Amino acid sequence: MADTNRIMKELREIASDVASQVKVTQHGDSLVHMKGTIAGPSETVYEGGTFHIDIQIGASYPFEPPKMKFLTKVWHPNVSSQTGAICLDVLKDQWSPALTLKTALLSCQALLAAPEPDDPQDAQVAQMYTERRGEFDETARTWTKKYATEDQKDPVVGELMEMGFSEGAVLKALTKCGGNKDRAVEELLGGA
Amino acid sequence: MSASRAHGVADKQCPVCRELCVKPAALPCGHVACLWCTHCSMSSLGESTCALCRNEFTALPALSRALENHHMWCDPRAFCERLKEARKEDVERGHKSPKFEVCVVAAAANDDARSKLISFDASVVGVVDDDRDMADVVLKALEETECGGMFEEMRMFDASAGEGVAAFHACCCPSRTEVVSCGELASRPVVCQQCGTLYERAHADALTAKAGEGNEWCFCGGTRPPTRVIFSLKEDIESAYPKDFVDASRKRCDQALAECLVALEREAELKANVEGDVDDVDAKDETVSTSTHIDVGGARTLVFDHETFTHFGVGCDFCGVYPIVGPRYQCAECKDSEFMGFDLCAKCMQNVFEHPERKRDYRFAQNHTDAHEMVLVRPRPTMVHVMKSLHPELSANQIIQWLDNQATASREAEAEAAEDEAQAAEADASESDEPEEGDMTEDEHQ
Repeated sequence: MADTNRIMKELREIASDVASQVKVTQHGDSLVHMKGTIAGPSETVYEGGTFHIDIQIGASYPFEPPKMKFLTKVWHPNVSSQTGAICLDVLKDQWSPALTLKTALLSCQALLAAPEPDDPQDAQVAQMYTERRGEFDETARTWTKKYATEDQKDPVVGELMEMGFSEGAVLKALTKCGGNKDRAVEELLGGA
Repeated sequence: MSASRAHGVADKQCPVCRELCVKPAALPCGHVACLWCTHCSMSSLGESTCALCRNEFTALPALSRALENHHMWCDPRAFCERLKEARKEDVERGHKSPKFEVCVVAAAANDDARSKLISFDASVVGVVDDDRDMADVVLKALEETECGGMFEEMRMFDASAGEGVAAFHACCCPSRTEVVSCGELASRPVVCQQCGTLYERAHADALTAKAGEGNEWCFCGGTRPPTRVIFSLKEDIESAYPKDFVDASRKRCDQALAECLVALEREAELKANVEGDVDDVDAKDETVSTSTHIDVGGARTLVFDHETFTHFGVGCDFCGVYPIVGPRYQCAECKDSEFMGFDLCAKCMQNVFEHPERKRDYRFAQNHTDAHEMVLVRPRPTMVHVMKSLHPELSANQIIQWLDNQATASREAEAEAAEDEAQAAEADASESDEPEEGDMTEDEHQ
């Protein structure tokens, strides 16, 4: 059984710290399944975004790391663009029982600010990061705007998706064409 | 104003459970955490790391009486309330923690000690079997102002008066003669990892240097070097006692140590002269060659012998080494009667043989006595052992990870196969359904 006293304590601490950029909300009364929220670090391509992270707490917490993955789609070399899985050492073998949900979430935030393309989770994104940095920045910004901001639906993307294209494909096409809708359609059709 | 109120317990939280640390154990790096939290966070497969600084260590440190007493002195109410909770948790989890004991310096300083040592005794608390009772007695005493004995003494003890050193702040290094502690203030406190006894750093260093690496330096028979300076305690001591008292005490202690080292040297010379008459009772006599052979097919046979076998998940209850590498002795009686069992490593087993008269504080509060029969445990190789000897370059964790991946893969393959089967069965069923439907319609037509 996980240390419920400690989890409760952690939640109280997070709740009392209003200045922090990290939030944790419970799903009901569950101390096993929670949702964390972090702000995109400023002066990065994720600035202005609000990222939701799924938190699963195992039975031997805090002796094993909490399982975390992004619920919000993120374009980042160490986060799977499909599943949201995070490649971060402190959530794996570098976990220490002195770390907390808050520090783990802050580590995720720091990861957004400092990607590690040499230890990628998403090879495609990592490749783009190292080889075509401009394109990466553009895509990451678009994704942040589209998925991680409150007014989430970009009308152009919505329109193209209604034509039957997947989100990812639409975003990619838009990025490639610098946001020009008509050219993006051509691109999508040409690519199909 | 009582000195106890000057020191809070805010900085005495265990970094793991985030509660006030009532069963403190100090790691080699000088960080303090609960005994149980430390035990639970240790790796059962190899080296463990400190939760705070990731410094590597291999043995569970002992509960430190000095730290325990110090924490109680800082805030008796908070300490006792937490102690009661901790006892409840222990019962729920089946843990057996050593109960609270008043810190006694190895042997009380004699009149030669130039600083007054204030030793507390457990008279008011009396003999209580349970930490919860102890906590109740103290909490009750806190309500009533009149109370004698250990607790009241401890509470009223005012370090800022500079009149003496509390037993739990005193260095245990031997003074002029080996049996008497110097009793001076441990202003740079370190503890022995084996027994948790407090030492002044300079003195522990001198003792370990004197004993030589890997030899017994502490009176408990501990061979592992002492911890680094425990900063939380150092800060408390420095702020509790007047500065000139700390300095003076340190000077006196240095002097006492120098005298002690001279005495020890003389003793060693004497010993060297009589050596040769002592016949060693060698525990190794017991290690009959019972190695385990595993045939892995082909020409290779893996041999697991006592000397190099790692007993994953089993720790020594005396020196704390976890996991035990080399011969492992298990108590035949505690094995069945105790939930936790009782084990010793070869070195500690030999120590028990050689010094049966010593009083030993074991890690946890099992009902073990030295009279119990200890049995050498045959190596029982697991998959991890086999893999490890085939691939020595892999760490145990990597092997576990690999085995885990294999298990997941085979489970997935099984699930897939089951799914395919189910689909095939479904297909069969629907095929066999169709003609029936056909029959039905035909029947209807008829």
